[in-house]
Amino acid sequence: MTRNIVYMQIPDFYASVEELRRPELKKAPLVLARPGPRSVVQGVNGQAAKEGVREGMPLSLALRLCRRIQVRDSDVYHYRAKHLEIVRQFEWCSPLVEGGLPGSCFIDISGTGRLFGAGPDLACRMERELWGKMGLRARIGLASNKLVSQVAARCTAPGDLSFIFPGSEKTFLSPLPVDYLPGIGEVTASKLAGFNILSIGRLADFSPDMLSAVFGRSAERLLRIAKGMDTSAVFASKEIPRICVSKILTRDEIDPQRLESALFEQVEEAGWELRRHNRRPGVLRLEIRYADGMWADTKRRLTPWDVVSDRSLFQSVLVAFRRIFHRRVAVRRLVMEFSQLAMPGLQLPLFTWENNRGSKERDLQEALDSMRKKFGKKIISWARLA
Amino acid sequence: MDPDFIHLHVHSFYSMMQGVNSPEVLCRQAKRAGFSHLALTDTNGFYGLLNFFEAAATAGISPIVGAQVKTPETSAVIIARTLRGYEILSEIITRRHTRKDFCLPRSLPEKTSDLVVLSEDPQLLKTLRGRVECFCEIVPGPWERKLLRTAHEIGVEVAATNAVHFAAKDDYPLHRLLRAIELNKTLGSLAPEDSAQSDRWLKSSREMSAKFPHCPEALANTVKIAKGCHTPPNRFHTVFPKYLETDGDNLGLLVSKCRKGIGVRYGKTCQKIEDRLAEELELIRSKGFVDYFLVVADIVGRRTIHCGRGSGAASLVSYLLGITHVDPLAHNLLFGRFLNPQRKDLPDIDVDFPWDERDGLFDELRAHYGNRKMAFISNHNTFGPRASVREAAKVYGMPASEIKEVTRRLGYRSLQETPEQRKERREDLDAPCSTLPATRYSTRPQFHDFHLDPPWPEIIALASRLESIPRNISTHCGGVVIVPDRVSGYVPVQVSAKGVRIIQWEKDQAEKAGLVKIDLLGNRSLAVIRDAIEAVRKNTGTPIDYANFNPVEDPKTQKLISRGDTMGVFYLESPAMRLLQAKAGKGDFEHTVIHSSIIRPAANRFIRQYLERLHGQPYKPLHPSLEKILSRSYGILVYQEDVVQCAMALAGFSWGEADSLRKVISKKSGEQIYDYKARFEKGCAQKGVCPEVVEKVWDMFTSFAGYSFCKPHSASYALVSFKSAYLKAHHPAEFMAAVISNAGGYYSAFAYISECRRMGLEVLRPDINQSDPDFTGGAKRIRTGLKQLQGLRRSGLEAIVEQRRKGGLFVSVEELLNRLRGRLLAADALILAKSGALDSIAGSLNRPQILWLIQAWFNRLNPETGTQTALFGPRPIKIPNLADFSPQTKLAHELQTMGFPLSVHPLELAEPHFRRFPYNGVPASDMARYIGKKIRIKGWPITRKEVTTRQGEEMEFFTFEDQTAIFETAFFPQPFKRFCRDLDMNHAYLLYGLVESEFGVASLTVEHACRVPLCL
Repeated sequence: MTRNIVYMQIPDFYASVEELRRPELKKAPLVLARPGPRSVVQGVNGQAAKEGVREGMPLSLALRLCRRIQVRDSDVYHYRAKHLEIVRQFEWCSPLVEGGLPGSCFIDISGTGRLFGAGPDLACRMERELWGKMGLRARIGLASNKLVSQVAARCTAPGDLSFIFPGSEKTFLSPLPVDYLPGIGEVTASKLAGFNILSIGRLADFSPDMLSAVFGRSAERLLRIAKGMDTSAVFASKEIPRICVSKILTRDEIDPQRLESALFEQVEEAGWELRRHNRRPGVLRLEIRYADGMWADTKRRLTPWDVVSDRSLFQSVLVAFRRIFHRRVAVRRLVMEFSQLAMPGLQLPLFTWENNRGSKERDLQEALDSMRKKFGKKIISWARLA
Repeated sequence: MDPDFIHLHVHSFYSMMQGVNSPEVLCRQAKRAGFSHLALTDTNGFYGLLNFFEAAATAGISPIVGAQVKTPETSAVIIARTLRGYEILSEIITRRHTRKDFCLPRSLPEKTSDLVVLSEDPQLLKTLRGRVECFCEIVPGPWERKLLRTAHEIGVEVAATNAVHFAAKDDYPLHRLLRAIELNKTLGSLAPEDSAQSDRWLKSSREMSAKFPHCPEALANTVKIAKGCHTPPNRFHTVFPKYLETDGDNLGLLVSKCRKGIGVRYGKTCQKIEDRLAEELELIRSKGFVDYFLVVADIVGRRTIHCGRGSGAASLVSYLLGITHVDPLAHNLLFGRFLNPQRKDLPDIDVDFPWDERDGLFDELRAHYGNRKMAFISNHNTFGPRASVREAAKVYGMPASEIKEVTRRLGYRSLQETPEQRKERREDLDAPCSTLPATRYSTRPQFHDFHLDPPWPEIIALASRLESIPRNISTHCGGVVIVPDRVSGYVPVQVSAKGVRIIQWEKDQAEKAGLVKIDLLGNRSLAVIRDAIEAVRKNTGTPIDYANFNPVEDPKTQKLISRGDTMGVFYLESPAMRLLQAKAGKGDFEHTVIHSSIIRPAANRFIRQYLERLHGQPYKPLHPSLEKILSRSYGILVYQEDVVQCAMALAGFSWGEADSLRKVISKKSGEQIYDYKARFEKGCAQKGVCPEVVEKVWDMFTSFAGYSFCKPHSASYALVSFKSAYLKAHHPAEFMAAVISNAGGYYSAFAYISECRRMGLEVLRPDINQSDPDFTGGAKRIRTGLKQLQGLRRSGLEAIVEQRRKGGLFVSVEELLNRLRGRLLAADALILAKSGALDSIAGSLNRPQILWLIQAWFNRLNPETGTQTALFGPRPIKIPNLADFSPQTKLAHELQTMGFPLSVHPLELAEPHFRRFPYNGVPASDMARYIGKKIRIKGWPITRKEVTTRQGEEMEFFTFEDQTAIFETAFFPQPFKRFCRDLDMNHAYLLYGLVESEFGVASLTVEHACRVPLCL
């Protein structure tokens, strides 16, 4: 059976979603970034892109490149929610909808012809539906595999479909530049350019033996993707329950004590959520993002505590933090994520003389939580003795 | 009244990266706190001792000499009681720095009363007790009781100190910053033991007494120790090197060498020579300089190419001994500027050698004079404005990219306000500055679009205090001291990062201490001349003798200098100098000497006057008594001697007094200048000179601030300039190749390549068989050297040259790879291919195919062993049919491998962008035809110089070039403010502005600049 894979990609997704929410922003170059003197560009619209502004660029540089740029606070949670909404929206036409990067997804519509009609018609219908329901324009690629559908989407304008007939993949890919292929990064593209191999067709013409003389083991993979061969399946997206607390510091911070204070605030927030949902975390992931854009993260398996108390959580977080915080550069963002959530299994003591482990800690945490519930989170806080 | 306590453990900022205050500040603070004595005990050194003596004398305090000798195992403060004690301590510090097995107890003499030791280490005290007078050092803190008990147990007396690391408590954050920089930590991660405690400042006697109510003897002992120290600060006397190990006088030897020199230099003697020689020899003998001259003559005699310069070039003896090459009699050079009965300071002779011969020369000298007798002068490296911001910002965790953005905008100017500016606001000079440097900087045009948000104001404020604090010491570029016995008896010696022995004093302190320094400096232009002479000999067979070749009267050379076509010519190639030469239109020796001296920062307005008078404008001398003195320089003060002679003629100054005035002006010593000005005005008034003339002359005097030259120095350099100009005029290819190879010019290699093209020379690309490591020239062609290839490893380059010498020329790419197997890396081979160096041996292969061949050849090797993996020999490499690179790609590769496009001018790469403009630019060669008109012109930047106007506004002079000529431009303050952020050295520019002419030389006053990228 011929596979039909749709790749849908909404260009400048964050900016498009933001413009949807606030249409007045459409008229001028727009940049989405967290407020603060040293924030990084998280999203740009087409007009800003024309001025040379790119995602990941320091906001100060973006402002220098384009003085009339509008800067708005980015709302990543909203954008993620929109992305999930899009993914869910296409579940009616296929159970296999794979949400990729924000604003893009693969939909496997193989074998749906008798239900919904021809593949291109269905893809166009999906795009129209996206435009009609959500007001977003997407580029659509339709091909027999994920790789070619991605390249096809790249070759068309937003609101349009690029359909590659099965069997014509090689002809389609042949004149395109090699860096259009997903899987060919800057290094490989530059190496290919060193041999004046600039088009996908030129690359595909090589014999495996010939190419392996200079590319070694990766020659086979290069040839495969240059010929548009991709057998990878579309997997339905599955949401993993987790609690994530992210914090962008008001000022880049390098003082370990102040950073630990910020972490403790996050622990309190996460602990509150965990206890509210009566969950115990199995894995902690901590990510720190430095002011120069570099980042480090670590994962730590947590021991099953009897009590999910802030103090016990913080002990684990602190160990993880000290493991990854080594550079002499200030930290800008801290992300703490608890996953593998489970019900806390509380074992009561069998005998009276047996210690009720953690009962004091639990009582204290419960007392704190009840006070906060009644009078607000700020009513009481932990202090640290020097 | 006798004090109750004296500080015996004090660190200045010469305790590198620990102390924060200068000896001056510490002495002033000590005086303010009522102390009569103060010890300076820097860690393992006497780095700032002479400055301390001077500061103590100014503050009226008795200095005590000491040092904290610190090793990983122990630490002790050692104080020198006597002169002998100073010498022992100097030797101990030398051993601490030079011996790996240093042990403090072993380094101390068996028995001495010349030293006092203070230490907290009970083990050390036990060992030294009985050999040296020992005290247990008690520093206020929770551990003092334990130390008191230990001292009692050992049986040594106690002495209180505060282990001072800073003058006032406000300096503690600066101390922590220094420690964090030193240890590569942040302030937050600095452990308590990494820095001194917060109360280690220079406390008053009363404050210290309050800390030791239970132990008054610890305080009293400090006074006892201080009173027993008798190290006179004026112990230092002049120390000359010794030529031979004889006790007798070497004057006879000097005279005989001079007599021999007369024969070589003049052929026969005359009365004028005899009179001058007798006068000089008498002065040299009376001042004790006989051995000094013999030693310098011995040193220069070891190399054929050198240039003696400085005031020493005024000496006939130097000329006769071959130290200098300018005839002082013919050029009327005054010996008095070098040696004079009234001169108190030490004159020195500076000698330049080709830069690449200097290290070999030093090795020879070490072997000849002995390692113990000779050492280099050191440099005290201080935090510069940008480095201090960068280091402070790192401690605050700022990202590297942001630090670069800020430091780039800050420029190179000091972050600190001058003492004059602070005095105007009536601020205490020892207190931190009341205005934040960041506030001053945020108003500068460079920060127009860049806000200095927190924590930058805090960083810049701390960085401004960090500025000028010594960070480490390094080897001075050429100053050496040679003493008759051993250097470490005079000053501690240590080993520099380069591995040579250096003294702990920089040149000023060495001079104050009486150590006569000999400056042996590296000069790239001398190497240029040497290489060009060698290339000429090789190409044409014409030998040129450097010492005896005198091109001063050569018409072609004079013409070249008068046109200002002097790119690459020593000392005459800077834009300002070329413009001056062209405006003056004079190429003779006398005028060149004037030009090389008058071109100094503060003399701009006098240069214009000079040019007007040179071109015939009538003028009257400022005063009749100056007419003769300034007759050769059109009534303008040009040389340092002019200042001295004018002061003597107008104000009746003695020679010594006038020379001191010249020095004070040169060093911009604020308060002393006012004092000398008053004396000068008084002297002039007594001689009846009218105040207007006094004012004008003083105005000219101040143009000598910063740096200025004496005539002998300028004449020596002018002779080298003539020699290089001669080579440029007669052997252009050889000369320009030598200029680029020695990389010592004012301009980049690319600028010289352009100059070569303008001179009609063909520049050839690098070639694996034809190129030497350096550029080579001959027969109107220059071949690019392999060293120019950026990223090519030295080992690879050496392997190529060696293999070519041993096995002959390479015949194919594969043969090259086989012959250099294991010695040439793939990255090196790819660079060679991309630059086109392999084209000549590639046969029918194009460059992509060469690159394929190289990559495949290296892939075929086992990366672990570098041997081939195939069992039955290597399989032949199949090369696919690949299309050749486009011309644009080849240019991009040239840019990548050589740093500049070789086959075309970069402006041609920007041509597609230029075509978008609706107008064409004027060629630079035609600029002179548009004087008084506004034009548009394309330009590629060559060099730039930012200056400040008299109103304190910033502006910049830029030198641009196009395919036809090089041209000068000025961005005055308004255009500079507008375009400074767009100006860099990597883009083409379309400039719009007014063509102006001065003395027949056209330049562009820019009104608008548009940056144009290259199309690659």
